[in-house]
Amino acid sequence: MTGHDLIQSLVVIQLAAPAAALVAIGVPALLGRPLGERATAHVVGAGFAAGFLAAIATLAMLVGRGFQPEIVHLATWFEVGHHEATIHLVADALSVPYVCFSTGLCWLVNAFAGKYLHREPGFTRFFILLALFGTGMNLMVLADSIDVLFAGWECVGISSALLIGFFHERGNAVRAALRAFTTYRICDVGILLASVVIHRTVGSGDFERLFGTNWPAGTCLVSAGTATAVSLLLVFASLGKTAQVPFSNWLPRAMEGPTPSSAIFYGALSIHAGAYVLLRCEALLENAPVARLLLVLIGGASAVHGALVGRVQTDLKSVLAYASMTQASLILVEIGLGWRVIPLMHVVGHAIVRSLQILRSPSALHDRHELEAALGGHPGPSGLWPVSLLPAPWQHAVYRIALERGYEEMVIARLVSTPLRLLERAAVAERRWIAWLGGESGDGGRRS
Amino acid sequence: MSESTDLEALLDAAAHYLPAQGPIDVFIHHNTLHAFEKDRFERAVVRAAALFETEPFLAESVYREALASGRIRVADIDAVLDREHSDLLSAPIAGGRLTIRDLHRVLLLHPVRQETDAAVRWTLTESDVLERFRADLPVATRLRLLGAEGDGQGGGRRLPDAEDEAARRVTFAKSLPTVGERERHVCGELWHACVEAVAASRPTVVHVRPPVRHRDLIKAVHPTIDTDEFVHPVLIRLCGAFLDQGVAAWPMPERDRGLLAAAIALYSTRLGPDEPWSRKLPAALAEKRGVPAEEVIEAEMTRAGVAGAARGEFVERTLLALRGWAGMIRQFEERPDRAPVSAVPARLVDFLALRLVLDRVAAEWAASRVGLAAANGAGIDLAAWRGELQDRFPARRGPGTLARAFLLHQISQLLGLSGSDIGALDENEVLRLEHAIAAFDATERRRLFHLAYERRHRITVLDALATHVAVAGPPAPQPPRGQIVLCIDERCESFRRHVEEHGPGYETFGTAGFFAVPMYYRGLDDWHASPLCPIVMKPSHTVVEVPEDESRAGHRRLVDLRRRYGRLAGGLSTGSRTLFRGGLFTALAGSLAAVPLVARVAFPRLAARIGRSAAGIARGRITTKLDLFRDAAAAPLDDGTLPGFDVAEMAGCVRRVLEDIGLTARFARLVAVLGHGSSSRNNPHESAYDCGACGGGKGGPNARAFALMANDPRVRARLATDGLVIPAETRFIGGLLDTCADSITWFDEDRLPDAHRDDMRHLRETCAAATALDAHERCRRFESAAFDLTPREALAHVEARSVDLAQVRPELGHATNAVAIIGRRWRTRGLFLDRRAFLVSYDPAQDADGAILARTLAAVGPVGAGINLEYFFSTVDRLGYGAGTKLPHNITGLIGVMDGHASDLRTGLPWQMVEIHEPVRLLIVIDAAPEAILAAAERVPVVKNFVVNGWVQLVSWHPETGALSVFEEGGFRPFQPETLMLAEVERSVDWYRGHREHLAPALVRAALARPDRRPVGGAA
Repeated sequence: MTGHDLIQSLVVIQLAAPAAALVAIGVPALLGRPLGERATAHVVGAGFAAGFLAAIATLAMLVGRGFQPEIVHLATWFEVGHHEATIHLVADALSVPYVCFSTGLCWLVNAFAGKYLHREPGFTRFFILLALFGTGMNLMVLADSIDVLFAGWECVGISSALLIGFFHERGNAVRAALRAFTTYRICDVGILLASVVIHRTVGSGDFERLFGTNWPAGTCLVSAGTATAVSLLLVFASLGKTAQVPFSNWLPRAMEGPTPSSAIFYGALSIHAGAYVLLRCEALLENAPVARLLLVLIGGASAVHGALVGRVQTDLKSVLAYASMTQASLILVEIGLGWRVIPLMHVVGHAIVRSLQILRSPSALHDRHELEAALGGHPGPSGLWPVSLLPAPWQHAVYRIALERGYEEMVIARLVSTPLRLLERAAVAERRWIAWLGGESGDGGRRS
Repeated sequence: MSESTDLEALLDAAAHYLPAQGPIDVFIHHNTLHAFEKDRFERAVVRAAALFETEPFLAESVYREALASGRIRVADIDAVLDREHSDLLSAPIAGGRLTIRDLHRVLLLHPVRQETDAAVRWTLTESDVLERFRADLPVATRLRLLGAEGDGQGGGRRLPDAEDEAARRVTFAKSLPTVGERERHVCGELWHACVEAVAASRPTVVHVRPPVRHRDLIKAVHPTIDTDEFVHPVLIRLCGAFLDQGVAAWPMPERDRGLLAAAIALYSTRLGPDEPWSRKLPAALAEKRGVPAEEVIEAEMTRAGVAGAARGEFVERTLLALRGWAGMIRQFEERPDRAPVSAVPARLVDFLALRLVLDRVAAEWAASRVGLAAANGAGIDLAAWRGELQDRFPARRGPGTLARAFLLHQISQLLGLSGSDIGALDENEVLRLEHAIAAFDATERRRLFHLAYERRHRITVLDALATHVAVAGPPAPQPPRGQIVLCIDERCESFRRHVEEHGPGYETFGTAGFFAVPMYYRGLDDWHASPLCPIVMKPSHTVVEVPEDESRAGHRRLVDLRRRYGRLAGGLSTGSRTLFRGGLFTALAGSLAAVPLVARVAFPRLAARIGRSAAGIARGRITTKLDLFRDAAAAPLDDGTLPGFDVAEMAGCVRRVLEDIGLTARFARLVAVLGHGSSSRNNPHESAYDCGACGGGKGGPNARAFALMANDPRVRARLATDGLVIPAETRFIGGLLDTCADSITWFDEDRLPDAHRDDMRHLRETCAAATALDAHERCRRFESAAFDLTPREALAHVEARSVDLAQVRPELGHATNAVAIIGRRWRTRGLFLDRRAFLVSYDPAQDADGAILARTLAAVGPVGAGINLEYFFSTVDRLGYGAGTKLPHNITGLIGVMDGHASDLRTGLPWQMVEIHEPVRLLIVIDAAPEAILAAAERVPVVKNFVVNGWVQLVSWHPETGALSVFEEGGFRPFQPETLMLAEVERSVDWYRGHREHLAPALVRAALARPDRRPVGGAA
């Protein structure tokens, strides 16, 4: 087996291992005979472990050949004349380290959850969703075409929403899941449209037709107009998962799920999925200053929003959710500034710190007591807080805005519900009109 | 004036029902239904269930499973029925054929559910209920039904002709076609009779009293509108911000002025887009600026049209709607000293005023929503609307005719009533029968089931005691090798048994784990003193741990180092949440956190050991001592407490414990005093696992102080003058037992005289072996621990649990607690009690006047009953009384946990703590004569109330005869053992190996005080 073949198989393993685990626990569960707890956790753990080790081996081989990218042609979905939809994966300086990091984290969280969810009624469901998430994440990271990326992106989205609603007997959890799901769906339109534009422009979803694949020094192969259009759509797509203003209010609610899934989704991986997609397409962004400017503006606004709102939250998980949002926004700003390696480092560093913090958030009292004992008193307020320089009424106003989470929800509600209500009125008017034309009495609109 | 006092009384009455759980960092077990203690237990749980919308008992299905598995026996059901008021139960029904008791009995033994008409229709079409008898019909009843029909109808229908029958016999070789045909006929006849019987009367319609809150009325009449869903998020945000003890980096402005004033200061201006319902909120709040909360409440109640007697219920319901937060506000108001950081000026009256304004704004919006007003509730008369809503409040319909007929059909079969029997009943008799069925509703069935459930447990335990006492004998007159005094905690039962099993020369004692040393204590590493004594006491002494002279410099260096480390760690943790510092830190150094992440998650035990070793190296060798002794003349401290104890006080503490446990002679050379505590991670309820007698703290310092006191020659001299002589060669040593990691820390070991080194070594080894065996026994309950662990592996397993971030069951706490035995240890020594019994040492022979029993009951009764009842209710209703599953718990304001990001504060115990608990009221067995117990209980009103009202079960175990009598209906009744057979094993492990479930008591030979005395009549 040549090095070429080997690296191809390793890439396939990174994807196939978690997918096989998903099938191995999913099929028995579908047949109504789920595996035992221990077997479930072990199977999924083994899937992640195999994926992780394959990624490490791939990384070693890539380093050996100076990070020359390797494209894996898995299949061609269909081909019509000059148009084709292919299933391609890529192993390069971005994707392989990212798989190492994300699969490694999944593995760790899997080990954590095996104990944490012991005897919980939804045990198998949790691991099915975790395996689905890991598979989707790897699919998204290794994708070399917008179609494959979209598939992975959707797996991440659906598993995230279902895990937020994990405790589906509680109304709040289901509402929070629905909210996240809706936000995701709205923003997913961006990727879908980007896919249409890309297919239309280059006749395929392959990234190598859009830009050179030697990340981070790829060159854009399409016109500035196309690059801008695709970039803008991808920026829009990333707003939802990265919880940017004005799509951020689902994030604190997402903490309704079990702690380990909160840690890996909203502390570590899902929250950075948008950043990853933008990093993957950095060559396009390079040629789309408008999109970059937008990214810096939205990211900056979200970072300030997150930092401000996070400061007044009084429950641990909301504090951490807003802290996540702040850093994820900062990462988008860094990408918008045209940086490559720093945002990547930032993603990894932030993901690790934050998931550790979320995992140990139930220990907050213990940690707090230890800290107080060490300090010999309560920890005082830290750092400079510019708002404290404002006059009191202004401070009150800022505080209230922060406590009301920037009124973002109400703004959105108004923006969304007002047009919807207009539509509703229009529909009622139309029915009346038809009824009148049909010669029924004025009340005939209420037939349904 | 009178109005404000009225309001105060209303508030106090309503606040009584709020959860009494304080900030979670000090968790005190208490009776969840404390407010109902003045009532009989069986009535109180039903009343409370109606008030809180909770469950009074376990689900009926759980009891039925218990019945099926033999945990409840039919004999228990019969006994419980016999105990009920017999005159009522013997009343005849169904034309004198049966009594109410018969009806109750079949309804308990057989599940019959009241279905809706629709469900019955489905059942009738989709199953063969009209053709076949119930499958659970006893044979005798079945035969009677089949036979009765024959008698009544003079032979009934003719059998099918022979040819047909032969053909059917071939097809259904095993069934009896004649019987099948007959069954179909009888069953059908019965159905028709039932339909006819119920058709004579109409279904009932019950007009329930409409609720008092607007929200409940609106929800009942317009089910899509729930105003609490608007009000609660805002209220939770405000309460969270107001009570926060340091989670938010920016505390709520103006909160020093109280909740209402702060809310008005922040929310009374228009700012940003409000939600549709809250558009009028700023104006409504601005109106109240400067108005006292009492007047706000008065005005809002008047405006809502709540007057007179309805006010009490209104206030109660309004507060209970968000009872966790309201209760916490009340706790801050009543016990500001228990606030973890800042005692914010919380007042329940502020909370109620704010809530009523929010409720009103939301109700007005709801009125506009249902088209009552033009826009935003302008011109809404809430009082008038309230009347209208009350009129429209839907009545509750009883079951429909079909459902009634079906129920009667099912029950008639069980009672053996045939169609002709039912047909023979007149209209009134049918109604009486139906009423009797309806009156024996699910709650009533569950109550009786529960009594049967407790009865079986009681009999199992008492039988074991009755059998064991014949085997057990008092210890030999010479002093034992060593003595260990522990807390009464039921988790210590197994440790004590293993000590006795492993080192037969040892004796153990149990007493409340603060060892009669109530104190504020500040350890070397603590920054403030905390109380270590039962919550009902307020200590008047402060004890400080200080470094020995030679360690002073080392200690200063350590404090410095720790402070620097604390600043770094705290800075990183808060900094990582900010914008710029967080950005720099996570981007540049965040990856380094992978080391702790991987270590803590994948190798928790190793990581903890490395952490401890590092801390140990940093600490160096710092020896400490307790600053315990005080000159009788020393001045009190700033907080009014005294610095340490003087000789007389110390002698009092020592005497108290030694007399309580009956250790006044036969002192061993070494007496260990072990406090207990528990350490775990990822566990907001950590404090609930600590020592209840130390007010949710760790009892090590108390044990250490007690040993110092008892060793002091001045104290001994003082005791000797009063006749309590502790031999000079007896030394006391203090220690702390970690019930989670099963480890022991000994204090002041180097202060032991050289002559005691050997004794100490032996004690240490015995205790080490006992902790390993104890860990092994505990592991039987953990599914994640294999059955084939060795004790050493088990010790590693429990140690890993205590430091594992992922572990939601670090230990099982007080779960399974069920019994408290107050008496001499030798009477229970050698009995496997499965970690379910509080063991309190008490010697009736040394307590002629009953004073010791009275004070023991006063100390132990409320603590034990509090723990037991908190577990009871958290198990009975895991969501209503308990805190639900831990997984979505979210620490809020460092005072409690919410589910997810915005819920009520969850009080009670989480599911993972009570999962294996069996809710039975504490069975207190006292080694004393009935008269002595009654006399002692008379002196302790709280215990008397518990006993008389049935919140605990009380048993007298006669000190001389060993006769048992159970306290029932106001007096002791002799208990007749069911069986005197007790399983017998050599070691505990032989009994529990391979079992995860609760185990019955057994005799463990190796643990007997004198194993040479062979038991008789036992069977393994």
